[in-house]
Amino acid sequence: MDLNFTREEEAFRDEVRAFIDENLPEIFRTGQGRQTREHRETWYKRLAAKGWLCASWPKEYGGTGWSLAKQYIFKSEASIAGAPPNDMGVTMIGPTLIEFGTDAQKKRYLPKIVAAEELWCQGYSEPNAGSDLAGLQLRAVQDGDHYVVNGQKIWTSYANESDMIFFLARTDATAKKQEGISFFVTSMRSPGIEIRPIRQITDEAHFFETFFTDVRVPVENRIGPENGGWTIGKRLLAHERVATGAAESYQKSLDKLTAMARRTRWNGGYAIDDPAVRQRLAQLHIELDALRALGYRTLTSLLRGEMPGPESSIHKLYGSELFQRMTDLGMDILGPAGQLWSEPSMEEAEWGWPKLAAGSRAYTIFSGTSEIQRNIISERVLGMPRG
Amino acid sequence: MNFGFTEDQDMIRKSARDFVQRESSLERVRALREDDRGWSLDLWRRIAEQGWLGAVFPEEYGGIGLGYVDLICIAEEFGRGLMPEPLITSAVLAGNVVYLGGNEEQKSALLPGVCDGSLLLTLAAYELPGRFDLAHVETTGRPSNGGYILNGAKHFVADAGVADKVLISARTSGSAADSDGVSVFVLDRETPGLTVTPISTVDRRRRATITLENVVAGPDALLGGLGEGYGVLEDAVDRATVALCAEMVGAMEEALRRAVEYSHQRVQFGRPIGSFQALKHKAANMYVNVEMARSSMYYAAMALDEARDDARAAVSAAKAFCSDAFLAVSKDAIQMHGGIGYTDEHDIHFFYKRAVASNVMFGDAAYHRERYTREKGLAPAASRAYEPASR
Repeated sequence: MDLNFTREEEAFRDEVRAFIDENLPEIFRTGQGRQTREHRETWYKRLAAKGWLCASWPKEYGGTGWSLAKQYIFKSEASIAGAPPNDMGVTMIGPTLIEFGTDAQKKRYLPKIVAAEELWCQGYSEPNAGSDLAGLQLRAVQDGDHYVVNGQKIWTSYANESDMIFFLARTDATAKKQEGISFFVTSMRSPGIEIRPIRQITDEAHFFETFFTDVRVPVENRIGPENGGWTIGKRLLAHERVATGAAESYQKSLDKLTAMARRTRWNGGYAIDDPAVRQRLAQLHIELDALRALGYRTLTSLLRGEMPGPESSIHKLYGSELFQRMTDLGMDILGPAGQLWSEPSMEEAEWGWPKLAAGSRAYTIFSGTSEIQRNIISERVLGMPRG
Repeated sequence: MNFGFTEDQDMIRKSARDFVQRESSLERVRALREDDRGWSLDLWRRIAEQGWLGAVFPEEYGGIGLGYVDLICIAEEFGRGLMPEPLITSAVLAGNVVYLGGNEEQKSALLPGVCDGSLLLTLAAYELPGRFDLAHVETTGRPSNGGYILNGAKHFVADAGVADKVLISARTSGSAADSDGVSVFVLDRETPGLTVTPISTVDRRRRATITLENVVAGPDALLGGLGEGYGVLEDAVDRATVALCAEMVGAMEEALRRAVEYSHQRVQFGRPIGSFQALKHKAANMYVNVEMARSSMYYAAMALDEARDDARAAVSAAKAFCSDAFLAVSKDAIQMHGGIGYTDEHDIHFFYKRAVASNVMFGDAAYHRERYTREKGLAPAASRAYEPASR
């Protein structure tokens, strides 16, 4: 075992750090203030200009052609600095188009993703299709060289800031539920698409309901065969789940929590002097260390050209619950200040920790709830009988 | 960047796994509960023939010069079979006290016997009032005639009844919890004034209390520098702790495997109990515990081999994680077995009992969390100035 990167890789890390220092908008560094499309776009365009936006794509499609080690270094450094996650065009639909798209589709969509000219959102979940995604009911009925789409999507992140949407729709209502689904892309400015913000428990509104009323989607916007969308849709989620940098994305919160434990007054001393607080804080550090080591294991498999082992299925489950244990301890440290919320109490509330704690509830729900993750682990990894 | 094993290491793992499967079973472990020694001397010699007792010691002392990433491949398999032979307490722990603290003469005299299995060493370092603190030594070593007179009591000493030699920490200067002034002495078990009193332990491995009454230790009995034993003990215990963590991971993985296997076989309400989501989620949590414990243990072994700055913290992180995880997994394994899991007749309780014993060996989770905090500097001295909340 050897955790060292090569000299060339370390030089690359320095280059990445310098680039982030110079180009990452301040708002992401502090995590404060109202982030808009403009902020994200600024960052994405700067990455695009450098040719670094699509880190994991092959070179021929405008990707970097970086080795996996370099991709990992870039992703870790960006996470630690607080950079926003890449747009779904880069992380999800791009790789899916590269795998399943026709030449014409690749030519139409990929260059605009590479240049950060079109941002994407995802239309998967519906009010009655959450964990049971295959139960989706959005209908697409062919009418000449178009499909006519009717129905509703929900939890569409950044729908208001996106140019394009990829979505799953039912094209055969009589087939077995997984076998009547097709995969589409369309412009968010298509006539008949309306969005309505969903106010979250944090008062923010990153999620939207997206309504389709007689939206006409050209047949050439279907990715893959008709009724073959389930396979593509699941494959796309696999791109989402290979998350080797999970530990890095929680590091900033743990650092802040540690600082809070040191500076919060507590019975005449500081919170960290309390053995119960100290034990919990140490435990969280130990858990994040273990998650980082788990990431090294997954990364090593990838670097060796192997499929990640079954242990890679626990990154999301463990990371999200660890993050909630962090926000819980922060709330206990804040004590009476834990009931504060927003202006004018921001400083006393550690600049938004109570909101972070409320917001952390989402982590065990999105991208497959913890309950679904446990089903997957027990059935697919441990081979327990399906009930 | 490589956080995986080499082909050689995979082969070591495989030969250890084959050896344990061929030579041992929980039936054997069950039978050894009633044995005077608690483990098999015959098997011990065959383990020695594999070279595993000297795995981490240099060839010049009869070892094979491997690292801790190699050793964990062996220890994990020993744990999977709940082997009672004292690979960790005798070879890795006591062997390292000699290797790290002894002078050339002592190393040459003692280590070859450790490696070939002919010399059984044990370490007597812990005392009841100090719990897990190796610096807390009330046993005294008073100079006398160029040697020392030892008085005091040591607790939870492994295999004291059958060890050939006992390594004993005693205070030669300072007061009870000082890290300076701790010295290590090597004595024959048969030394007059040294009394071994067996105790009964949960997993039936043999532990004893050693009392020292005016025990005479000659000048050559001092192992390492006078008063400089504490650092040696900490380092030796760290190395043994990594091996112990590997053993714990192997054992918890086996407990999970058995619980899942049982959930396929046991039918209630007309279906295998493993098809119930309540048990699936319990098993998924056990799996998460095993893999996270394994990850932290790998990191600690690597950190020792690479002599990383964070090695000591990494060892404490691994032990804290493995202690909690092994206890949780072994308790859940009993629960998944239902009533039969509560019987002595069934084997699953052996894992819980090993977890209880392993938890308090070399420090429990709470002790190691506190040690991690110190090593990482998470809690700077109380004099720190008030820092205003910042973004």
